Amino acid sequence: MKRNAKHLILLASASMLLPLMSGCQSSSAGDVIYLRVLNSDDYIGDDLGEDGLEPFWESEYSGFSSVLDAFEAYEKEVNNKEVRIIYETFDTNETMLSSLKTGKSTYDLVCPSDYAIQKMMSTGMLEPFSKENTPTYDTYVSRYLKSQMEGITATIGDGSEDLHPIDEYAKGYMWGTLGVLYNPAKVAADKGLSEDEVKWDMSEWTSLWDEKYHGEMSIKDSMRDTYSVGIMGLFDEELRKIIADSGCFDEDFNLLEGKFDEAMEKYNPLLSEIFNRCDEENVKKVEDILLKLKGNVFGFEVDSGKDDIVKGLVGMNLAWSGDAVYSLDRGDNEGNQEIFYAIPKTGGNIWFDGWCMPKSDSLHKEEAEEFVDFLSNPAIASANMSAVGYSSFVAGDYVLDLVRDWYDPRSYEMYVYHDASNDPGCTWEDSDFVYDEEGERVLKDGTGIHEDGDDYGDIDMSKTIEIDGEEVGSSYERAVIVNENEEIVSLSWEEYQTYYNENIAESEDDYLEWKTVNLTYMFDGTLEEDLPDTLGDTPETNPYLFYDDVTETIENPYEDDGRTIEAGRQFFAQYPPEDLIPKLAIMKDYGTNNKYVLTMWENVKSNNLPIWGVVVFGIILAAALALGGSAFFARYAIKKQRKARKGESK
Amino acid sequence: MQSTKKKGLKRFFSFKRKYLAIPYSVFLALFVIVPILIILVYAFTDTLDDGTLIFSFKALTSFFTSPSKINVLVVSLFIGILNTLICLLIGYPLAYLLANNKYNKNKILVMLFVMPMWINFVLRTGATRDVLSFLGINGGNHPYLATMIGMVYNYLPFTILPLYTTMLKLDKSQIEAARDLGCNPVQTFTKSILPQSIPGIVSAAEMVFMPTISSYVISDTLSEGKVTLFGNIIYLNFSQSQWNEGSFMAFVMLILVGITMLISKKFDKGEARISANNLW
Repeated sequence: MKRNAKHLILLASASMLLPLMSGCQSSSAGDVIYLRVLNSDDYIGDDLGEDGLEPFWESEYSGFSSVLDAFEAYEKEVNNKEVRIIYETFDTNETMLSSLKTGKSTYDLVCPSDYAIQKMMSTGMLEPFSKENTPTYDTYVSRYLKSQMEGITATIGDGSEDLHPIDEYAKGYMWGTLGVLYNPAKVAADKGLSEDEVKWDMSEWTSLWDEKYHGEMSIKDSMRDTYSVGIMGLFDEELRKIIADSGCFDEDFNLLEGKFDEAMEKYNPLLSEIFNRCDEENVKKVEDILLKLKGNVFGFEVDSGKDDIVKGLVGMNLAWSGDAVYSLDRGDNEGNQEIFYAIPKTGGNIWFDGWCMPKSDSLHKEEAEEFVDFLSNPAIASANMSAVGYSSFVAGDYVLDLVRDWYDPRSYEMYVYHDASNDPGCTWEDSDFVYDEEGERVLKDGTGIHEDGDDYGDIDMSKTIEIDGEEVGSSYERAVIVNENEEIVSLSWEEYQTYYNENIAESEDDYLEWKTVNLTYMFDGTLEEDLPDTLGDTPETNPYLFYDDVTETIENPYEDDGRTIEAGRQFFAQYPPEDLIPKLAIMKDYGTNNKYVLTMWENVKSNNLPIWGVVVFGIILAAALALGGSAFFARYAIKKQRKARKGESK
Repeated sequence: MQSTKKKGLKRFFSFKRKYLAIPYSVFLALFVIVPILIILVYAFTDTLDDGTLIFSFKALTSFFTSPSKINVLVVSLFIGILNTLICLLIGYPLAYLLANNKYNKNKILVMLFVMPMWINFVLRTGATRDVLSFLGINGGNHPYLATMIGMVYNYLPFTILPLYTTMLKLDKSQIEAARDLGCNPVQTFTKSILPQSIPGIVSAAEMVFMPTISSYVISDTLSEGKVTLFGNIIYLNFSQSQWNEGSFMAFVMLILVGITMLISKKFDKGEARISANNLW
């Protein structure tokens, strides 16, 4: 009965909504629910190409080319509802906010950034999520990100001063960081430095103010992002001091063994406090330091920077992690530019975008929650992730597989690559893995084919070996190879590297030196398969650990003191290493201090007329005056003459 | 009785020329008058926390007490004036040549000069940026120079066109008469050609000056965000929900438009420019 009533309400609200959507969809279907979704541009997998997305539920369909289509089919088959999504996009949080405030258009779901969610919440615009309606999200959301989200609170615009965590009103979608994208080869050539010096300097925010990088970098023409850089520059010394005092980090600011939780608990709140300083006095200080930065940079940009760095117009660029991945890939694929991404070691900004439901009479709360929960399924999340380039808020096995495919060198070694690289202009990213009948990616354990001349086919890994009565081939746990004596042996990946370096590598440049990356913070508690009983401390025995062969270790080029930093690339941009996580903070809404920050930004962006301008302006004004004056006198003289003539004639 | 009623009806339905103005009048009221009124309302009010508007001069005081906003206005005026002058200096002789049958026989040249206007100006500006950085001039090292080049490039067609149409209508016999009566070329120019072409100069200047101040794509792209014009700062205020401040600055801009209109009217009195008064 209750259910029927709900149904009726939905029907009623759907029919109320219909007149608003003239021309959008045929209105003939009686109980079709229209779900209006507002998201950023290019922020969902709505064009997945030919292969498409395989449904994760029992389905008569297959190979959806869009996540949105998949949801409509899911609703029909699983929840027995006819839902149509009306998908619209916005460009900035600010335009979205003002269109929601003023426009008559209503949406069931919008996807703004952290601070905008806070702002919307505190003006009472948002409907809370029901506690038990997003089970998939609750299962797979990264514990770390969820706790970050719970750390942000806002009033809910009901007049009371009670603070609620924004987690109740929004569910995370994508997250990322703000860091420095740089092309060491170009910067080094421009400025007469060594590449290692550039890489080393990029681990400090203060390098942006350094005269030796003058005119090399573009920063964001966006108030909040550039403000956060100003904060990191201004409080650099204070941050260093509390990092050193916290006792969780070594002298290079790397996490000490087993101190992650302690650092999150003790250090992160201190950082967050500094990072969110926006009172009048501090804003003034940031203004001064940003004016200095303005004098040292190439310019401001909001979205040309990610292409400029590939084109070589700038050598450094302040970038969001997703844009960074885009630039790094483009640099690798077309430009032959080796670009790097750094988050300086004192830390920086972490941000996220989340789904929330603006209050309205026609809100389809149940379906909106179902949509959010659907997107939180790791299968869908990984499809979105590979389409968008940002990192998904949820983890889980699918996401783990995607990350391994993308970044873990073990996958390069053991997967068979379908040879698409014969096509001109093709790179290995264009080539596909081979699929078996079940649509699984095929490992080199029996079904693989060797690609002659391919970088990835140096060792025959196509055999299986019997361990404990079971035939096993190469996997993320073991490498099964045919060695130089034609024997089939099973090696750990550690041993595989040694074997490769001793027997296959032609020079030291070819050596495999894999580092271990710890993503426990992201995947902990979200995996279902392949979990060993006790987690080891190597990637073979612990799925939260990954190998990484692109991050470079740079030794201090200035002093021979044995200190090192890591210069990261795509993997680093998508998932910052564990060392950095406690040093990242969310920049909250400025609230009533927003006006100070805005004035600060106006002052930073405006400039005085340059000296030559004053001179030219003066000349123009003087010339105008002289011209006007002479015209006036000429007229006066003519009048006088006429008068005189008149007098004469009399 | 009957006939007069009929006549009245007929008169009522009979077509009058001024009915032609109805579509535009409606458009004018909806998209010009009403928005201006809204700007005025926001410019002289203050928004309270709950969204109600109260009368206030807060936006006015915040504008005149903010050195950075005034600075931006001065810089914008400077760039506007400079751009107008450069466009006129380049465009005037060009328009004269184009209007002269001796140099421009089949009007293809005119098309060539106006053609850049057919391409979307955001695209054009993006391309200008690439060309300039290829030449070694970029916003990083010469923000003002790059902006000025972009501005002149973009607004030159707007100068040439009105000048060209005025030049076509120059009274050739008056010019000849001036020559015959002993004017040297300079005097012919200052006493006959220049006075005749003043309406063209004025409308060209109008078409360049204000749009330059309010444009922000060109300066943003070409100066790499280092030259901020009045349009940018208005946009920034609106995007940060500072509607009152933003509206007041838009109002300042309206006043500037008014002033330029007044000045230009002073210059071309007596000339047969179509004035809007005839419409009503």
